[in-house]
Amino acid sequence: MRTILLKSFGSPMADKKIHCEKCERPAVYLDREREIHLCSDHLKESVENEVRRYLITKRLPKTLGVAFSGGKDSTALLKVLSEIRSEFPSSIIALTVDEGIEGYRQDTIRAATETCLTLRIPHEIIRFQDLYGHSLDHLVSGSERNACTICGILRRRALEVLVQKHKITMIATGHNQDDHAQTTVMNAISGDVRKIFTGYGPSSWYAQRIKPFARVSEKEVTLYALISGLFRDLPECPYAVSSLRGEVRTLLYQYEQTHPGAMRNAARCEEEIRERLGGTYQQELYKTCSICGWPGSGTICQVCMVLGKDVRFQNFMKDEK
Amino acid sequence: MMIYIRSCNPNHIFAGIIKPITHNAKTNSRMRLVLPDQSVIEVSVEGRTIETILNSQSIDPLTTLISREDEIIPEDTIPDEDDIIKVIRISHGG
Repeated sequence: MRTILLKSFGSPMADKKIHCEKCERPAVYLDREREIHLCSDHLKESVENEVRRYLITKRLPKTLGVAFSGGKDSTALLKVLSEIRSEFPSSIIALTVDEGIEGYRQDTIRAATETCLTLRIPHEIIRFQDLYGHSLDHLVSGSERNACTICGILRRRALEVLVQKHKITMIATGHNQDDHAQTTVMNAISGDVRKIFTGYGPSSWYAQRIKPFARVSEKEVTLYALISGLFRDLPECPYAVSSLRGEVRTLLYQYEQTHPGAMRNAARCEEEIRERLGGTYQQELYKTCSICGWPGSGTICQVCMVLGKDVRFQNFMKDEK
Repeated sequence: MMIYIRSCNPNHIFAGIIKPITHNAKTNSRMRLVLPDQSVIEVSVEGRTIETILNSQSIDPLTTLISREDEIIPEDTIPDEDDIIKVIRISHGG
């Protein structure tokens, strides 16, 4: 793990430097859409204002959970929330899932722990090994399914276990505007309208997800973490593979270069569909998993399928007959 | 077009007609680009922005941060020929 430290921000101006639109200090960021440059202080202010604008529209609970992987996005989110927490009624708790990925997760978990200590935010870690009896490495080695699919299913459940333990009704995630734009295009490509509304309907079981960085680009988020001294050049997940998201990301960045604002528009597009049609779209009701009792889309939930419990359950039923 | 010469009338320099010779022109040094994998390539700036240079190297400037002398700079900066520009990757694949 390598922490990237910057020597200084706002050192005396040299002629070759580009200056901030607002204060003449050296710029660190080019906002392509607004065609302005911002220094580190004004970039921080801009990011925090976007988060304020987002949070003010939400009915925040007493305790806000933050899905905290230890990566740059969730680290930046935790930092922003810690900066503006006096303005909101919620206390914050960071929730981390340790999937058990050898040679990768140790560094990010350590980074997560250090960040929470620095920001004085309560932190709870839940491990696949403790919850499911196996690490992700173990589960992936015996499965033909994509590691990211298995991880996503089990991580969501692990987070929900923490949520229920702490009686949390709302979780903030570090998804940024770029993530949203990619998801919008991916949903359009897959033609699955249901995905647009998934997770946004009322649920008495699952905690509501909010995304305070919905209108903050990945570059702004990364810069915020860097400026705050919390950006770490962490290793890449060994299971990260070339995927549709990767292709869409490349495509969108190309568009963003030639058509500044394309990313923001794509992200807003889906948001607007949800706002206009969210109330009219009939969402499928959750079913109860016949094995574990958790809600899901089928009679056997995805978690039980991934863990192979459905097979054991079927064998058990056969033996009973 | 900029004319580089070794001796000239100083008044022409002050008037901006002639740009004085720099050590870059003398030594023919080129900007060094430190890539995310820590490999280093030398590039002629030729008045281009870092964004243009990155694009010419098939690096998407939107997926990177740029630092010079340990300070982050915007990608539309035009670097000097003797600059060392570090590219920090912000987007991972997958």
